[in-house]
Amino acid sequence: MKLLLWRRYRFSASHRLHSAQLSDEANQRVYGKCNNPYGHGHNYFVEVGVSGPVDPATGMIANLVDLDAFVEREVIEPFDHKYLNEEVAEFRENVPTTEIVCMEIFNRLRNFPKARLERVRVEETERNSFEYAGPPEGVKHD
Amino acid sequence: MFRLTREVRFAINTAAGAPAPERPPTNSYAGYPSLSGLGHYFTLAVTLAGDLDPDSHYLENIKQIDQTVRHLAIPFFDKTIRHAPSRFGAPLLAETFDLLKNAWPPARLERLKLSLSPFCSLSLHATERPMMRLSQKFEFAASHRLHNPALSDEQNRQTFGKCNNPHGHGHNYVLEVTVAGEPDPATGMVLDLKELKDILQREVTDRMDHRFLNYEVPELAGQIPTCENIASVIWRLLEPKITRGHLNRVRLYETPDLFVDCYGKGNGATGGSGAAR
Repeated sequence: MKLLLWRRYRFSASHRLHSAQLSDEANQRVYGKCNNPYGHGHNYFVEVGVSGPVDPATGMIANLVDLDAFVEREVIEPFDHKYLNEEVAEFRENVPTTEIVCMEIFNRLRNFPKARLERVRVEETERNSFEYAGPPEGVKHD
Repeated sequence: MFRLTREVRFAINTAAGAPAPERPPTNSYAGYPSLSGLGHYFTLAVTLAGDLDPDSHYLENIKQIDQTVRHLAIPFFDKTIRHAPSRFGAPLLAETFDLLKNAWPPARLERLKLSLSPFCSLSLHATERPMMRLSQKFEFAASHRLHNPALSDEQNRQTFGKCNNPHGHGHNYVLEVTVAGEPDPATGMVLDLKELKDILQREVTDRMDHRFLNYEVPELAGQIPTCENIASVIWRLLEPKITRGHLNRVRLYETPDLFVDCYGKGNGATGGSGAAR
């Protein structure tokens, strides 16, 4: 039997999908409305899945106090109510599609000291969600 | 590797005088085609897996997913529900999978999940055919207290915070049970939902619903009733009782923001296949 502990977080942020490698016309064609020069925003939900032995003294894989503080510091505080393209250094280079946002969140959380980070799932809207489980050797299946 | 899941909402309007499926939606957020009077409302979640396109940094443009599902899958649903309703369920999902499986290269269609209601879904994973997974949600309400008698009161408060309140506190737990199996060719069902309900009732609801978990559930005796431990107990109670197909996953929500998945050996996070949710 294997356990995965999931915690759900939220942040609100704006972004613009625009690639410096594409012409304005190509950007418009590829990204449509998401290419609006003034940006637009979402309420993002982030689900963080961690695994590890259940500590018999606490009954927990990880204490949520520790996980919450770590996620708050690494992700929520830097992302919440920000314009991702300008205010998060990684997205100055990489277009903040939710695929890239999801990978960035995974990379920021991968060194959580109290449990093993298995997967990160990001909901951009109720209807679009993305999942990243690290580079290929770490791919997890459900 | 990345996964993208796009949920496509749509209605099949079967009542007499219902608008034609190609009519523009009245609210595309709520479904396209929109539900109009008596009809069937569905969501189909499409999960693609693969690498990102180097230009767009997209796995796939979600508009392409919507368009293809609307073009290929929804008319097929419409036809099946009107003219071959006995093929609804597993056969319909399998045939829809075949219609869509090569639609978004180079991304792979990893999973199709059809929600029959907000509480029940059927999903097909590319590598598990002809098996399908059926998920059903149940609810129970219970109280608990997180406290380890081996620790001092101060340590308990530090470790468990509010959850250490000596009088306990409670939650509405939501339990999602997923069973995997080959659909019965006669009934098209992975398992009998009534049978699943009876097992749930006996093993979980009767034991845990409206109970104080620390004192009233013998299976939790000597354990701290965290979400991890409750989910494990539920897995161990259910796993031997599911005899048609097998228990694939137990997901227990203590709140919408905290939940635990429990998988069997050789399944789930350590192997198996498919996509999340």
